[in-house]
Amino acid sequence: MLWSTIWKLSSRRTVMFRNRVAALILATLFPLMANCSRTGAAADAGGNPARGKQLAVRYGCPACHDIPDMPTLGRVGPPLKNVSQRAYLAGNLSNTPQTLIRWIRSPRQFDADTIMPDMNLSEEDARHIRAFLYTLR
Amino acid sequence: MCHTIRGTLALAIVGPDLTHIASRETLAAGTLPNTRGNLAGWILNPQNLKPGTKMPPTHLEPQDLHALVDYLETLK
Repeated sequence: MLWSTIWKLSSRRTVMFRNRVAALILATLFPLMANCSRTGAAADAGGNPARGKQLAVRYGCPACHDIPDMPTLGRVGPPLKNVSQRAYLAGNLSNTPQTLIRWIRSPRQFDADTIMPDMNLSEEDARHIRAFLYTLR
Repeated sequence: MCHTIRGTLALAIVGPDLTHIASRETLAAGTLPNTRGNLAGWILNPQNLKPGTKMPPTHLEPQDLHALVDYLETLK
């Protein structure tokens, strides 16, 4: 009787322990798996894509770039479709969320000879525009 | 020369008067918000932004474009 009680308790504990371990492993792996399913660039998003689209029109992104669903067909710079999936920006910049923000805000700090003007965006506005750019497929 | 900028030698009347361009809300007959990005894109390739416009594309070196936009933004 005593032994069977001890055995039941310990096995229940073992199951609980196993469940906890499994939950912990899943909790650790799931965000990693979610990141892998997207590109590294899109993983750290933040910002509001709808607001970003309005800001992109305001600042004039489509004046030079071909952007899906925009009224103008910019042909000065590269098209921005799938920009989140590119490995590099502007020829030689590793395409991370942080670099994209910095490039949008002040491209000439990276490349003094770029034709893209510095448009004096706030960090917040650049974050919204980045969120919009990450929706482009 | 196509534009007038009062106080300079630019007095042509083919295109709009740019004397106070930096004070305008829009560019290209109301089609674009008057911001630095739109201004630069318009100067480089207006045909893509307003098909049929008489203004031709302008090929500028990057430093010249930035200087030109800097100047135009002072015309308030």
